[in-house]
Amino acid sequence: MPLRADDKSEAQGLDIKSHGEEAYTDGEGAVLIPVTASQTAKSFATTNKALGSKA
Amino acid sequence: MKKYLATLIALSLTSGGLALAQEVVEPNAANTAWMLISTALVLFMVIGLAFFYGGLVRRKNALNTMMMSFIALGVVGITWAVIGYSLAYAEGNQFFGYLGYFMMNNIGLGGENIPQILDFAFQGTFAIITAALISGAIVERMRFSAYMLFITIWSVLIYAVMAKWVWGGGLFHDLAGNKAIDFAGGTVVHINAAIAALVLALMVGKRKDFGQKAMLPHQVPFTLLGAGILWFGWFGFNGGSAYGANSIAALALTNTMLAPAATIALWATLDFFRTGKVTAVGLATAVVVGLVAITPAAGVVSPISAILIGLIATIPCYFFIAWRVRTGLDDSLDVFGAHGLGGITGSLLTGVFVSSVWGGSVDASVGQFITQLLAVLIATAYSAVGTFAIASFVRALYALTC
Repeated sequence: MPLRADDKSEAQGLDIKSHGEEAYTDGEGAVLIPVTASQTAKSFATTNKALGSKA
Repeated sequence: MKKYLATLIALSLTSGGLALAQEVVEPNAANTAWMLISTALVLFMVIGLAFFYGGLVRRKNALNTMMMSFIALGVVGITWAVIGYSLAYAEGNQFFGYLGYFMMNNIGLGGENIPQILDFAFQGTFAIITAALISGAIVERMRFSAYMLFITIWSVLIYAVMAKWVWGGGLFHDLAGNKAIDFAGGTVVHINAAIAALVLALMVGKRKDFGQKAMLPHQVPFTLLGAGILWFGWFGFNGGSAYGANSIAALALTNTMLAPAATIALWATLDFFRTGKVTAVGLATAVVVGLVAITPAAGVVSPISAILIGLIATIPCYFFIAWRVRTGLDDSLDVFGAHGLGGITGSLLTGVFVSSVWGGSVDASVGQFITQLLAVLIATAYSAVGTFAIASFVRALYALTC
């Protein structure tokens, strides 16, 4: 049913799936949360590249 | 037709839409000041609604729920500027306005009472909050993008059209020989949004854990804060609907203070006798029920009638909400229970208490009540059918594209 989110997103909460953010975190405040593993890897690669270029 | 539309768009873009170059008739300064404030107050209600709804959901969906109100500020604000205001207020037929104000064309800065552009902005805030109200029924499970698309279309085809019927000189100006009275939006805002919410909740289905786990509000103080902001903003919603800094606005504002006071008192009493406790969520809901119920009547009934309307509206809303949580109907934040039943009760009672017999403003008869009933039925039917059609279209579009 495309009007509604899939079961996994509903269980996880729609904050992360729809917005990549959480209202409450235990760490250093609201951060953009990558949704998938591939996006996580991509995010790390981008960060490393940026750090490398600064160095 | 294509050529006509292309010309219209080109003209609108090149002229900035507004009739800025026209000679301005200076409006009434006091009325303009009050309407400027009222417009800001109504827009602030959207933020109140975000907090009201946001506090009622589980923490994992808090942002998503609040965003459903905030996104309406964007998409509905734009649809209102592009075509919504034109459909609602431009010259047209009984059912919708034509394209006289398309892309804000011909909207002037002048006006005999207030600047027309201020009327545009004031009414635009109503469109925004009406669309945002719907989200309460489908939180925690509807796709955000589907919701965005839905309210974008709904605000044009359902809200703007119904605004024409009620306030734009359309269908409701002569129903069974009388004009349907809706001072600030009982039918066009509350019944309309509540029926749409109910239909959408049924189409989307209930939450996965509904009826199996307790789905408790994650931040009740948010909800109380939201209810307070809504009440504060509602003074602009009802008071601004007088369209001036005048005695009608004062009456509307007083009634907006008294009706929720009555609902709170009775709701707390019912809560106490039924459960032994007076709940905070219950009282926040009571505030909304009182505000909704007085909306169609705010500027046309006496303050004592406002108290009576608040008391009477409490009964169906309280018992429906108490019953609803035991059923399979996942109208998650009780949009129908509060706005639907509150709006219907208020709209019908307007037909009674508007009578001079009750200290109201007109010599109304039984015919006025019949007119109010017809308005409620037509608004309900149009909202239900229209919502079903739009949601089906959005679903089909997703099936095609996703």
